[in-house]
Amino acid sequence: MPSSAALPQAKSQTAFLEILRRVRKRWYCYVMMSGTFVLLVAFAYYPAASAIYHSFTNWDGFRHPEWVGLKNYRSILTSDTIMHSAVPNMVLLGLWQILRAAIFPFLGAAMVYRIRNEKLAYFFRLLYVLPIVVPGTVFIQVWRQLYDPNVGLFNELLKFVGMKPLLFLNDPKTALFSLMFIGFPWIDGVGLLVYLAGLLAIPREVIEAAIVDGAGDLRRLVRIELPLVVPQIRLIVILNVINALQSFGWQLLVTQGGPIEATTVPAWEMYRAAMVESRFGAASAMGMLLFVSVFLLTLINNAAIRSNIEYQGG
Amino acid sequence: MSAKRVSRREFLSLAGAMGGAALLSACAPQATEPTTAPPPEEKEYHILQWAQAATPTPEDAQLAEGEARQVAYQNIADEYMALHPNVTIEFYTFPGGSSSEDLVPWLEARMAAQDAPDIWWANTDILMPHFNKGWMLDLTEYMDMANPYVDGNKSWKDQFIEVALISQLSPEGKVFGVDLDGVGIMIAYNKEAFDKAGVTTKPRTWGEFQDAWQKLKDAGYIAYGASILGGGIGGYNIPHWFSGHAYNQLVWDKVGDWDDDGNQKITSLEIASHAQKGDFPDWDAYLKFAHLLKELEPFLPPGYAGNLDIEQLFRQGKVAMFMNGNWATGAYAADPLPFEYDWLAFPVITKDIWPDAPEKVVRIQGAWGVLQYHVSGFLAEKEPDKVPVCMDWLMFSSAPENVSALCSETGTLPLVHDATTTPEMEPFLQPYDRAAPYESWWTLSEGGSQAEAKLFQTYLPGTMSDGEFLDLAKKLFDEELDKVLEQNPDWKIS
Repeated sequence: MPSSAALPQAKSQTAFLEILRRVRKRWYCYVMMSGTFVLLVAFAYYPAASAIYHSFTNWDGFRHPEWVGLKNYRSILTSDTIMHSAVPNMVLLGLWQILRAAIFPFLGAAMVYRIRNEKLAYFFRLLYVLPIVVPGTVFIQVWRQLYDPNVGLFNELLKFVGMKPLLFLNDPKTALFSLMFIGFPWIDGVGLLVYLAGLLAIPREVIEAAIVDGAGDLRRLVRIELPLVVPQIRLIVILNVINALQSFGWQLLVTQGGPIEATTVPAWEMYRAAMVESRFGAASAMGMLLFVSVFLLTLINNAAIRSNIEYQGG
Repeated sequence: MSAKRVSRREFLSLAGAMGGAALLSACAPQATEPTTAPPPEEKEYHILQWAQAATPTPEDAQLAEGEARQVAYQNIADEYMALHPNVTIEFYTFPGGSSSEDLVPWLEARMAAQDAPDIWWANTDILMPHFNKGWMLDLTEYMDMANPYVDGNKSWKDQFIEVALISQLSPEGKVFGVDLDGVGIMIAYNKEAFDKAGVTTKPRTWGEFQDAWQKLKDAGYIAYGASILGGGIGGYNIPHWFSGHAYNQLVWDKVGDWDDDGNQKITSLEIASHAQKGDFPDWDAYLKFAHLLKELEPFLPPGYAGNLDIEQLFRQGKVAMFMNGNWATGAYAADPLPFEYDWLAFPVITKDIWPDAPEKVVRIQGAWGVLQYHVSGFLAEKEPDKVPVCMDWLMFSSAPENVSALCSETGTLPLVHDATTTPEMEPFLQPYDRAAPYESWWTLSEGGSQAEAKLFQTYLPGTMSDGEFLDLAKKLFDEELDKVLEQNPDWKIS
């Protein structure tokens, strides 16, 4: 009779053999999946693994990498530019992006949801969504022109009402806030559609029951609609967190992280290290730190944003 | 839910279809890959070249208003191919812009894949940090060969105006580029603005420029257009071009001490070497340079610390003068300005401002035009027999009549003796005493350029003392030096 210690080992062996049996039975499925798997390894997992390795080296992208251990990580964590400018900017921009993505598209979706006339609701939905087709670089150039200190529309309006013109992106004191203002009124088309889909999925009888019980518009919004779109909020928040940590389009096209590091973020510093300074090892280390940050924030997001009432469809 | 069973026949049919599709896609021709060697009796060569602004306009291209069809290099290629029927020259259309932000990442990718065009454009300065990566062939020995397409030529390098070679040498003094044209930098000014402001004579010295700036400002103009950030003209003005014209006047006699190889150009290697020895930069002269910029600051446009479109402001008549290059003459001919313009040389710094000032004219003039060509380094191993063909084609391109045709079309300054260009280039052909041997921290590294920009973003609008300025300047410079030495450990002096 086998001993009690041998039983778990025997169970796991049996389970393994069962898996092998099933693989052998459907071998052609695994063969057909192998192509996708190879591409995934080659273009997703291998570059990531390579970046992990190179983050511990001094590498210019061409010559043989020199192992330097934790030197790149130490440089990043002791860098004034990264720790005193880039990270605080990223936190501020990230928090703002989360608030912006969570609040304004939801309010826009709630307004469209309440429009009774179908044609009018469609018109407003289209109005909010149409700007998605504008390429990002065009959007950036338009706002850059609006912000131009000499010929931009904003300063012309300020002068018209008798106020002093501002330097916006060209002044370290106002550059970051100018970046945050971009996109006003911040009703992002994709976010609006996601929230609207969530609102439309709420069964009509739930809303009608609330109306019968005497719930007003605001109470319905806060007590019924908002809790029932928590999954959408969670999704929007995590997507925007990832975007906030990774994006540097404005820095690349307009500010170069300035003036005087006023708008720099870690992703921009990572790009500079790789593409301007050919310090791929340092850039890989920065990428690793960003990855860990995104991963931790995703876990926190999933744990923190919950609702007692998540509607289970079915 | 259970999986549908796939019969053996169905699986074999599917696998066959997928395999056929894979085979077809592998056999599809690639658009820009050079052809392989032909049968031994007559080897054929296909040369792919990115000619930058000299790229002939494709026949089916839609032209913008005022844009002329470019044909010069195609005509030259047709002539060459008639002489050498086994050689095909094809021109490559670059997918992005030509700024270093676009070019270097493109080169990184193309060189890693070894599928760059055989001959490609780059201002050799941009390649300074990458010389040791094997991206470009060393052309030094070809420069000593005779050019068979130029009567009486005994050495190819004799064809070139000196600045074409000295401004493009690698840190080790090697030649990596064939530089057929160049640029000159001067100050474009609005003649109507000058008339309205009462500036009746062309200023020449720093003091005369200061008077002119004040008059222009009093007349409501932005006297001098420049910004610290940004690609294009704005970002080149401060400190890059300004340093090239001003700082070089302040260190006129020191340049020889830094020019270890005597090629009249301060390279990144020489900067790194002398910085480690402690005699570069000359910080007293650098502080004076900063003071000159501080004197200019009140006449700069609002928002100069960031990214401004100076060209737009000049065209709108808001900016009275700004530094620009000879290429602008072509742009202004195609899209005329709403006012008359002319060119000024950079102010001469006089001895009352700086006692050691030579009171001579420095000009940024060198091989940074649109006809700087490099040969891909990987050809030496991948297709070694193509290299002499590429060099032969470049020698043909460099014949004076061909360079004249190219420069007339692109509106650039020829750097080949006996080649001509358009009459609009005349101001840039005016004599000067020295081509700027050094410009800015950009010569050390691209990161150095951004560090220097940060320095002046902090200094110019603020109230830093001289000591604070020098402390910050030295800190930023040393940080960039450390990064450069990390990338080039053999440059370290132990």
